[in-house]
Amino acid sequence: MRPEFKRRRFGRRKVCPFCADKTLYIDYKTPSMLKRFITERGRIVPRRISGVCAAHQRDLQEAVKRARMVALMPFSMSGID
Amino acid sequence: MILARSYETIIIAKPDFEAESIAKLQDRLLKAIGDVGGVDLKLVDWGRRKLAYPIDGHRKGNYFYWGFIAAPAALAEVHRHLKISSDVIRFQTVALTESVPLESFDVTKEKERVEALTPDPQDDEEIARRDRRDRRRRRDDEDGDFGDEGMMMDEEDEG
Ligand SMILES: [Zn+2]
Repeated sequence: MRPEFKRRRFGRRKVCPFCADKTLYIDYKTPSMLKRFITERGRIVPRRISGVCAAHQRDLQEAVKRARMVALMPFSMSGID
Repeated sequence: MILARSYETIIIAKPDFEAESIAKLQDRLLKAIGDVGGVDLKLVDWGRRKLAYPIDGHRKGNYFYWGFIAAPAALAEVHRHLKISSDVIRFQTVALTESVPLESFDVTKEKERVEALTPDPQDDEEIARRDRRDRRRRRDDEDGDFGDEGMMMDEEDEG
């Protein structure tokens, strides 16, 4: 049921942006920053596409979950993450 | 010996909250941590913001950020007051530190910690504006759902 964004025209990102820039802090209180890792439908971008490492993807998921609880971010429109 | 942790709580009040009753709530919260064990660090009024989804029929809410040190019993008391307040439509607490003896806290350091963790909503608005502009520009170039480009962290974020 995955749409056709599988064709990666921009090539794979190899470096995790949070590992590359240690000053980037993953915080549920800065939804604008988190939204860069969210699709238009409100789902978290899979890390095979975003290039985020496993550890930072976990932090990202936690932050998005918290941001949603205080209505700083919407819940995913498909209902599943 | 009382063990305590640093916490931050986001409190969303009704957009039309009564200033007086919020002030009373604030007194109760401060009293709770003062009496039971804790230290007030920082309270910030973020003002009215649009909610990402309606809560109890409200499309906007007034956000408050509160950083504090509290023993478990004090935190329970804080949550009890937030739950029964008719002005509060949502709240969430996140622990910032591990549990350590209350008297071992360096309050100045904890104040600096919450200071660093309190982003300026203006900054957030500014980032959002730039992102919207970039997204519009991207949409002109391509028709894809999102490209890797969309995830680039090409701008400096403070905080
Ligand atoms: Zn990483």
